[in-house]
Amino acid sequence: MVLLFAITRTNAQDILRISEKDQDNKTFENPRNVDINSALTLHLDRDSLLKRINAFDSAGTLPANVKALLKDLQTALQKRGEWIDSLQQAVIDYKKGGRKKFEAFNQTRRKVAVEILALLQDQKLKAYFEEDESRDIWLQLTNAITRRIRDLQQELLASPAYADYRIQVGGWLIRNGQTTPLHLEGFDTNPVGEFYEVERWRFLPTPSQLADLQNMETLARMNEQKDMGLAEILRSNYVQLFTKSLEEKVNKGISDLKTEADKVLASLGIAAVKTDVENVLNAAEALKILLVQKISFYTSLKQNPSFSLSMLLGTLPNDITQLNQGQENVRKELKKLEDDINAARDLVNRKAPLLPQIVATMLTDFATAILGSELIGIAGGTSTIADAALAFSDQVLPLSLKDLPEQAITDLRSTGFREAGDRVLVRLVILKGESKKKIYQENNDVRLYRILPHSETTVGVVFAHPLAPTSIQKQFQMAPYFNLLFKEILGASQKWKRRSGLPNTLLDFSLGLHVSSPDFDKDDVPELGVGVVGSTLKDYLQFGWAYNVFHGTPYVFFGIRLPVPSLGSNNTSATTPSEPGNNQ
Amino acid sequence: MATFIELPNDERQVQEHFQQLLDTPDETIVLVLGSDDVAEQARERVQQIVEANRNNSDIFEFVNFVAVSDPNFILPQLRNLENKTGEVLDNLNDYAILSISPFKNVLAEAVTKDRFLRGKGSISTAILKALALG
Repeated sequence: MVLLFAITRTNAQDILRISEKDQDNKTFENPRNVDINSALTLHLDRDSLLKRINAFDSAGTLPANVKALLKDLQTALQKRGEWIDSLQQAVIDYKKGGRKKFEAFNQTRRKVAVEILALLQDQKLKAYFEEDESRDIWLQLTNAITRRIRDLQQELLASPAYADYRIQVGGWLIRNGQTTPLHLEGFDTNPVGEFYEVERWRFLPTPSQLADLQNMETLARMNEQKDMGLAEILRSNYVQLFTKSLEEKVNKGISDLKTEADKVLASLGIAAVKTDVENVLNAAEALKILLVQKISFYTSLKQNPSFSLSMLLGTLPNDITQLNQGQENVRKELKKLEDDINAARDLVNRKAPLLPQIVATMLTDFATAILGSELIGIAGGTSTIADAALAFSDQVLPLSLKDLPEQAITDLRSTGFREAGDRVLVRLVILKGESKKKIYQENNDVRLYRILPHSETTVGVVFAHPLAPTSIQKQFQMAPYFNLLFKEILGASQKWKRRSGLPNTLLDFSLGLHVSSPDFDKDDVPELGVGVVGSTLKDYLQFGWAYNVFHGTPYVFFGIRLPVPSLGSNNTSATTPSEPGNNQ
Repeated sequence: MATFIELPNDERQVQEHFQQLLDTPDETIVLVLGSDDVAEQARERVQQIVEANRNNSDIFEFVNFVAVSDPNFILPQLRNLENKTGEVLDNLNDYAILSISPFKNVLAEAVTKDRFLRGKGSISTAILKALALG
C-alpha cells in the first residue's frame, strides 16, 4: 500500500526552518531554544517543498527543461567551491613547477570557463550575471544563480501541474498543556496576541513575593523553627503547610462543579455532557483519594522514626509526579466536557447557565501543574501536549503554491503571557485535491528560555548556620530571604543555552546579592543579614555567605526549593508584577 | 593576480605595447576601448576589479586589463586575429570591452557600450569567453 501520508518531525530543517533575532539584534539559525522575548522568522524552502511534492507526484507534468535547468543551477552552486579550489591549486602548482605546469593550469581554467559559459546559455541567467555589480566573479555567479533559481521555482509553483495542491502553515504557543494559536502574517487570519514582554531587569520583589515573604517570616518566627536541626524543620509545620495547600487547591474547584452538576444532571438532557460531568467527578475523586494518602504520609512524618532528608527527597518527586498526573486526568476530562458544552451551547445556557463558567475557571485553575512545571521536569514527568493532537483551525489559510509567502515573522512578545520552558511549535501541511487530503506534515519547534542577560528576584527560606557562637544551639535556623540574582551576565553560555535544555534548567547557575532576616539572639526581633548567594539547579539549590549586621556574626546558608504552594512555593521567582504567585 | 595598464596616447607606442602583449602567450587580454564617458566607467570598473582581486589567485591570474584611448590605433593588428566574437567589429568606437584569449590570441568577446551600460558584469563574461578559447 502506498504511503500517502508522511509525518516528519524534522531536525534537518527540511521545508520549515526557524531563525531567531534576539533583543540584542543578533540572529541565530536553527536554534533549539530561543530567548523568550525574541522575534522568530519562519522560512519556507521552496526547493524542498517542490521536491517533497514531486515525491508524491512522480509521474509529473512539469516542464522537463525547467526541471533540468533547475538541476543544473543547483549543481553549479555546489560545484562553485570545487571550481575555486581547482583553480587555486592549479596556480600554486604552476608557480612551483614553472612552464611545465602551465598547460595544466590553462586546461583547468578553460574547463571551468566552459562549464560556466554553458550555464550562461540561459539568457535570463546571463542577464542576471551581467547585471550583478559584485567585483568578485564568484559572488557575481552565486547571486545570479540564486536569482534564477528563485525565478524557476516561482515558475514551477505557478505551473498548472501544482494547481491541485494547497499548503497550510500554522503555529502554537504551548504552555502547561494549553495551546494558543500564533499569528503568522500571510498564512492565517488569527488575531495578534496580547503584547507581553518578559521583564529582563527586575530588582525589587513582586507583590506576590512580598506576600510570600510575610508568610515565611511568620513561619520562621514559630517557636519550633527558631532553632532546629534540618530534619526537624522539614517534618513539622513546613511540610504540613505543603500538604494543606494541596488539599485546598483540589477541593475548591471540585465542590463548585459538584454543586452545579447536582442541580442540573437530572434535567440536562444532553447525554455527552452528563457523561463528561460524571467522568470529571470520578477523576477528581481519584485525585482526592491520592491526596488523602499523601497527606496522611506527610503528616505522619513527624512521628516516623526513619524520616530523613534523603527519604523525603526520594519520595517527593514520585509523589509530585503522581499528583500532577492525577490533575492532568481531571484536566483532560474537563476539556472534553468543555468541548461538549460548546457543541450544545444554547441548551446548556438555558438549563445550566453557570456550568460553562465553572468549567472554564476550573480549566484555568488546573492548567498549572500542582507543583510547578520545573519540578515536574526534575521529577522526570512531562507536561507537554501530544503534538499529534494539535489541529489547524479554519483561520489557517490553505494557500496555493504560487501565493505562498517565503517567510513569516512572529514576535514572541505578541504571543501573550509566557514563561521559561514554554514551547513554540510550527507546522506545515501539504494538501491535495478537492478533498484536501493531507499528504505530508512537518513540524518544527523551539523552546523558550531566558537566555539573554537578566536579573531575577527570589524569596524563600534558607537554613542559616552561624559561624560564631550565638544563641542558636542546633545546626540551623530558618530565615526568610530575598535574593537578587544576575543571570547570563557574561553571556558565556548563550550558545550552549540555544543548543541544549540543560543549561537552561538543571545546569543554570547564577550569582547574586542576598538579604535575609535571621534571629540569632532569639529575641523575636529579626536581624538583618546581607551577603552573596550562588544559585543552581534552576534555583532549587541556593547557597552562600552572609553577615548578620545587627548581631555582628557571619553565617553560611543554603536553601532547597521544596514546594509549598500556599506560600507560592518556598522559593518564588519573579516574572511579572501582575502575575500572582509567580513560579519560574 | 590581474593587472591594469593604461597605454599612452601615441599610435606607435600603443602598437608596440599591444604587440608585446600579443607575443606573451599566457596572458589574457581585456581591452578597455575609447575615452568617452562609457570608457571612463569601464576603466573605473576594471580598476575596482583589479583592486578587489589583488590577493586572489584563481580566475584572474594572468589577466591584463589594457586601456586604449583610441582603439583605431590597434585596428590593423586586431584584423590579423581570428574573430570569434560574433560581431563584425567595423567600428570599434561602438564597443567598450574586447577580450582576447591567451595562446591562440583569438578575439573572444566584444561588449558593446549599450550592453556594458546595461550590466557592468559583462566584463566577467568577456573574461570567461577568452579563457574558454585559450
